[in-house]
Amino acid sequence: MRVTQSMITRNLVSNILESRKNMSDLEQTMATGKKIQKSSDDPVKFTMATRYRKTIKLNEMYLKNIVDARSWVSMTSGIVDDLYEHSLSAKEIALQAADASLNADIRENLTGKLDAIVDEMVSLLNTQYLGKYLFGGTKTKEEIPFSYDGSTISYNGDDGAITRRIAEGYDMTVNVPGSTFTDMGLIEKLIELRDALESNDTEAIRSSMAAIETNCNELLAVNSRLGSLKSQLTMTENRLEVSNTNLNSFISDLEDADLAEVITQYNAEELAYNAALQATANSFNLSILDYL
Amino acid sequence: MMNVSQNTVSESGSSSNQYIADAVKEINFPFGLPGFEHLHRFSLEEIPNTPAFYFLRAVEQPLITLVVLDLRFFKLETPLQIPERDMRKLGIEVPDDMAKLTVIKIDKNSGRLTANIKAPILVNLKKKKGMQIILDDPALSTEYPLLQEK
Repeated sequence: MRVTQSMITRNLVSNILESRKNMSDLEQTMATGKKIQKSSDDPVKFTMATRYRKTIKLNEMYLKNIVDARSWVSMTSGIVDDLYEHSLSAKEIALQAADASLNADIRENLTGKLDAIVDEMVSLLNTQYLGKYLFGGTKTKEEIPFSYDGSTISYNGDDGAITRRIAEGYDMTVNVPGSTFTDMGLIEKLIELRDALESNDTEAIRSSMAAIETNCNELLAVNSRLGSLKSQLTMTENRLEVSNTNLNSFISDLEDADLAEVITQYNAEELAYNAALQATANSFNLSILDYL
Repeated sequence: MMNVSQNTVSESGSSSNQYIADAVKEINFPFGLPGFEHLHRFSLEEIPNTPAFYFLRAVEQPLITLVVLDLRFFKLETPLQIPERDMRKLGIEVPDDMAKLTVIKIDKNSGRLTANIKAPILVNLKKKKGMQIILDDPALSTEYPLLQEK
């Protein structure tokens, strides 16, 4: 049989390929200190490791969503806090203004203060976070959620929920739509108060004051809901992190050729000169070192 | 270490000196383990020649096995403070009835062993009931090296 150039080449190539494969196995063993890098050597383990890797990936995605959800919720609750403070100030103004004997100058001064509060609150309601309006419902980009022309306020958003999936089958609503505030008449009641102030209508001032007080309580309720969302997020985050640690430990151990052997070696070689592992309760003089 | 607050139980001198596997062969986890919520029964098996290390193996699905270390044999710089409310959940009345296990992982890069001390597994030795808890302390690591570098 004549040895052709192409046969020689073929043999050479296959030899090279073979030796490369061995090299790569060796490299993998050296790199990881493990006997089996590819759990494809054991199809059952491989399938299981693959499945749980997917779960880990999914959990990592949920963890990212939690970070994002937390920013939304925290931003929102910070602003609801500010809205509450401003509403309280408005209530104080109403309280002062309810005194019928006030002269025109003082009333005008209070009206000015109230105007400033309304402006400030409208601008809070139009806050953007990462380029999105917090209080526009699902209309986060199109147009400014609250427009105010000095006498009437209108809401251009919707009452849609913005959700983040933070766990399997659980979408958390992270926004408070602006309709929550229009429903309670957060700004409207302040405008009514201002009008009452201008016309010096004590009766109307008193009833606005009561309405503003109700709104303050509603704002507190909104914030306590947001607070419980925050603690839910933390609990879910903890649980996901521990899940991933457990799953990683499991996969890591699963893929190790002989874990018991590793631990035994670990005991013998490492523990012998290191006292990190030892009986914590000396009272019964039991130490891992006794068994080595 | 600061004073031990009243709500926690520290590493007091335990009088039970037996190996946990002598007391408990199987542990019931009413809430499952995070990541393995569907599994509730785990057996505790000694790993030959390695006292204090155990296999925690799902009875229904034996391939699912974690390696755990009995924290009684592992000295931490700061002993773990277990909140009383967690002990109550497991019906633990005295610290002696409680074992603390930590899940062990082989670090992929270094080949060294690390312990998740942030989330120890508590076991009620009497009721053979267990639960993995998550401690608030941000200083606790999920990958605490079993041996500190010298």
